[in-house]
Amino acid sequence: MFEKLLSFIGHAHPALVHIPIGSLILTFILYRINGRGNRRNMRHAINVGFFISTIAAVVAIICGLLLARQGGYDDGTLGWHKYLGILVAFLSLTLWYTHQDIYKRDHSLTSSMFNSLFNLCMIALVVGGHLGGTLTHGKGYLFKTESSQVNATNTKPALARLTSATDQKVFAEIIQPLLNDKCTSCHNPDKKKGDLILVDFPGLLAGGKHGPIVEFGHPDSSALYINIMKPLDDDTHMPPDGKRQLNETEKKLLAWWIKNYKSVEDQVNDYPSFEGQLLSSADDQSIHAFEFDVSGIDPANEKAVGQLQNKGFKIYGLAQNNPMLDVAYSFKKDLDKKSINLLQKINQQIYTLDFSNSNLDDALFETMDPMPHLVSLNLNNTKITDKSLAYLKRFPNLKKLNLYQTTITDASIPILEGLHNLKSVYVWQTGISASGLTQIKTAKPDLEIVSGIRTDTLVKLKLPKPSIRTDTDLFYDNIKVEFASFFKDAQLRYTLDGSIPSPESDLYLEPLVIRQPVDIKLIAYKEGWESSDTASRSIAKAGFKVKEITLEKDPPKRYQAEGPETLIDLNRGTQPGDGKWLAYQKDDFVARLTLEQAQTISRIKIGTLQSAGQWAFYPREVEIQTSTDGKTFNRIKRRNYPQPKKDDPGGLRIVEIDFTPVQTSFIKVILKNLGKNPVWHKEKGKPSWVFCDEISVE
Amino acid sequence: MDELRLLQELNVRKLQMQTRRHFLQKCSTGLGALALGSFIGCSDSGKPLQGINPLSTKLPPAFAKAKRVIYLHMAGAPSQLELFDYKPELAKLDGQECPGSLLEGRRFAFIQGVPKMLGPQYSFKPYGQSGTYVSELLPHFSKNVDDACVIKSMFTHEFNHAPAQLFMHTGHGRLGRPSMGSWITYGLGTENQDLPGFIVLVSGGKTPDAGKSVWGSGFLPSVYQGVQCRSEGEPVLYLNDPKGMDRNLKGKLIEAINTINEEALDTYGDPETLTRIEQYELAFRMQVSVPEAMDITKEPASMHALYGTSPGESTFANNALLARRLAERGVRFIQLFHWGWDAHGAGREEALNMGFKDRCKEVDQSMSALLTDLKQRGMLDETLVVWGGEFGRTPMRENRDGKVMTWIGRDHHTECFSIWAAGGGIKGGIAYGETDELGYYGIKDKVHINDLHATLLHCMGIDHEKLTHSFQGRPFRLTDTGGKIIPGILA
Repeated sequence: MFEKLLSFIGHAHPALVHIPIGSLILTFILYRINGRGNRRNMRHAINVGFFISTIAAVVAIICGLLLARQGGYDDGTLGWHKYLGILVAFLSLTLWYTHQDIYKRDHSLTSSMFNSLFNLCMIALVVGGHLGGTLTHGKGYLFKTESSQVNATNTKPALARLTSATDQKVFAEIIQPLLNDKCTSCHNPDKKKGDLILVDFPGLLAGGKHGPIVEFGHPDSSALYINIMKPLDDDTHMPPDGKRQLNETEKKLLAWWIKNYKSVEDQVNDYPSFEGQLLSSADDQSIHAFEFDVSGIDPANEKAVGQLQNKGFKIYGLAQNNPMLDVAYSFKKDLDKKSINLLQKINQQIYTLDFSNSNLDDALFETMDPMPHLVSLNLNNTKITDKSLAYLKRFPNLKKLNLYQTTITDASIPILEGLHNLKSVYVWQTGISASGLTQIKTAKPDLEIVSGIRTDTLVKLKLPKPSIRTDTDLFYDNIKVEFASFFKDAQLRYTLDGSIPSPESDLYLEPLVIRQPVDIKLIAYKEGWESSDTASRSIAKAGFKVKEITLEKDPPKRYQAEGPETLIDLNRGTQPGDGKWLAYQKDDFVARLTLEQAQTISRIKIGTLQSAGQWAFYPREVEIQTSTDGKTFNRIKRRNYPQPKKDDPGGLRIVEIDFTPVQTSFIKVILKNLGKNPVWHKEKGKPSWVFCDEISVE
Repeated sequence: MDELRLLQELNVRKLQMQTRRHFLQKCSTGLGALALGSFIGCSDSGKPLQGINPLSTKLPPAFAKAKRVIYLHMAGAPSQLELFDYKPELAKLDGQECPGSLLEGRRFAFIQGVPKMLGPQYSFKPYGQSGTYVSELLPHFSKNVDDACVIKSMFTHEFNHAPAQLFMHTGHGRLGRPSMGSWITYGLGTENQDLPGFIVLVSGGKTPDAGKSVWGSGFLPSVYQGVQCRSEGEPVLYLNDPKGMDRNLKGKLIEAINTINEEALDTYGDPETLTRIEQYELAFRMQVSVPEAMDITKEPASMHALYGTSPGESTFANNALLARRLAERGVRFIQLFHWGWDAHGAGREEALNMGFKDRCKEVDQSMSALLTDLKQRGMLDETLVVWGGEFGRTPMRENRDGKVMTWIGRDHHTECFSIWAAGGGIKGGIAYGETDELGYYGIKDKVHINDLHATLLHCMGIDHEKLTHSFQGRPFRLTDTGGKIIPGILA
């Protein structure tokens, strides 16, 4: 803490030292003006001058001694500076003490002696002051001129040469000038801050009081580079805050040199290119350089930009500090002459202009004004024709021209050939013929002509299968059937008799109303596509209406669906868990149906499914019972099914049970559960499920 | 009279209830608003906060070669040794034991003990004028090599999928950083105010291992996060009006909600409120713009044939076609995720000799169609397309649990992998970087993920060192403390 305070006081020396200097010079001038005069006021002022000078000199000397303690200065220069400073203070004190006496005739000290002492004091002051300057700014600073300094130390010319010539010596011609520019004002033989001298290569190698400062090959371990890269507010950052800093390029140069150093005689061509390092330089403008000079172009008229934006134009600047504009009117159809006229107000600034997919036509395009800096023009999918291309001469700088999906023809080729700056042109899906393309390519071999793919050679894709939609799968009186395709403009052709549709089959225009059971087949057709796979669906008529349906036992919660009524809602399920299935694990499925009135029945259809992975199998036995009173049931039919096989894919199935007609209104349907997963099953012997989604009585 | 008395009483009560706590509360919101002011940068413009749309277009600091990015990510990491990095020397070592020097001190996700070397499983040929080597698995892409730059010397630090994907997309292997797309929309805004500036399309709707954080906005305001659109069914969920509510009514509803939100913004100054306001308005505009942009039925049959789409499904091909439609409409950053590339050989689907071939088929035609299509529309030179996974695969055959596996596969590898980039600002028809003769280490022009990001931002006109956001006391950037532009791949 105390040490810090001392060093702080020491640092005040360069400032405080100016007080005695100024004060002594002023006193000297006053003394000379006064001459041998005896003006009381003058004498008094001179007296005060000596007083202030003496006190200030003593304070400055104390500070100076504290500063010198910190070291880093050339001993010889420092010694002379120190003694001359002390001499000045001593003389000033003496002059102050004797000043009053010179006006007394009887005093032994004559005025001429006083004069000599004062002159000596001033000489000591000037010489000591100069030595102080040498300590701070380095030897010979007094006679360095602005121009000689630039020539000696500026790294810019070195950098410029670096990219072209390759036989320069890296250290002598690039690195040392850089050090001279940014480091040697403190790290010189006189001042040698931190005992480091950077005026030549041996000094650099020797390092400072903390040891060597470069580890060649490893910039990140070299103190020279590390200290430069530290944040500015770090105490050990170099050069110290307030001194001139290295720019990004110079930092990279230094790292590049340390990394690649082999000897002090290295030449630029011994190292990998420096240009790559430059690219990542944040402040280097060259990599972000714009393709032409925009300094003479004013920023765009804000009012016109606003008006155009209100008309639907999208207008963006290309980059910060760049007046050029990217102007687009795309996917819009309200372009008018007024808007085109407005573009005139920003015609100097337009760099890209995009009218793609707009209503631009020859008449509108004709009214466009010249745009001297337009580089990219997009006319894709507009109504322009060959006629408009003649106006392209108004854009002398045009490099990229997009004409795809326009009706231009080979007639435009001479015009395209006449556009001297054109670098690329896009003519996919235009009327330009293959021979036309060859013609341009021959005439302008450097022009990139993008003609795109030939669509006729592509392999046609198959249309996605259309869908058949109904509210229910079975119906009582009639049912509405709708068809749909992913492509709204696809043609849907169908048959109802189960035959495969052809392009001549009935075309679907509006939903069908079906009154009889049908077997629907449906195919989608569309220009440019392979016709779709056949979608098919059988729609069956439902049986007698059921008044009530009950289950002998509630199924587990997961498979209760909407209750027993689910079995007669005319909707089939598609997979277990879709909320349309009733199912039992291990137990049999027993349902009791009551018809609205007694009917002669001869067939019962039961919807069921098998999915081995989910332990669901078709029933092993189906039994139908009927009753006359709803209490005692008699079996009228029983059917057994073989054990499911391993390779049976399963899926949805409708089990049909036919039997001798019987008149009744009470029916019981029993689906016997397989009980256990079959022996081939991965988890054989585990309790299996039986599923049912629909029962229909006919 | 009674009412008046009641009102007076209410006022008195209100004043009585005003406590020191209320005062302090107001203090904090006042300070919050000040903080927001400096965050939004409105203090010098003098504009009221409400008028600022965080997605409005911002000028790039420098002239940008690319206006937008389409990033195709192959989640699971495709094998560079079967696609781009041709290693005839490795073929000679096929079946031999891996030299110990390659295994010493290394950790693999699954390889144990001493694995066997595995030669390239497919043949390679040079294609195009550039003679870039491409595997037989990419017959379509091999026609586009003169437009693309294949970088063979990518490397990463993360050898598990989720951290590696985060690293690839956010520049950091842990959660919490903003993704590339977020940084870019944060820096440049969006060109089309009716569509999100950052759209994500996922094949089969399958989110990558790292979850949605790979398109998250991290500590940036959430208005910059990627918006996931679906290519099957409704493009954006919950965007349609509910039954019985028409668009006008919805408009009024949003207006009312946003009036309240603006009051909240005035009071609390939370940038997330601003995000909320903007998202309501954007969603309202998207009701019209999104169905139009996402409708691939508008595309002619030839385009479907070119990309090899499967209309009605959410395949990579459909998404690639959508990506082009979105690019045409000015979306700034479009990110596609495909999945299933993790070819360990632990199952049929993830075997180099089985599922891997299918994956290549799923993307080859459509990714090359995307390049062809962008080019013929004059958009490739201003659209930057990048394709790649999150890391590479080992030159050794995977031996899970130290056993020979039924299927052929390779383990995760961080030292080198291949990606390609094409279009805006990128030099086409070159292969950049080299790996050793076994394809184990990058040996020349190694490219760190930060370097790739720096280069990407450079192409967009952004200096990666200047695009920063202050968070938790220090400025962050996509490349954080690293990143060098790769001059060798710039056009």
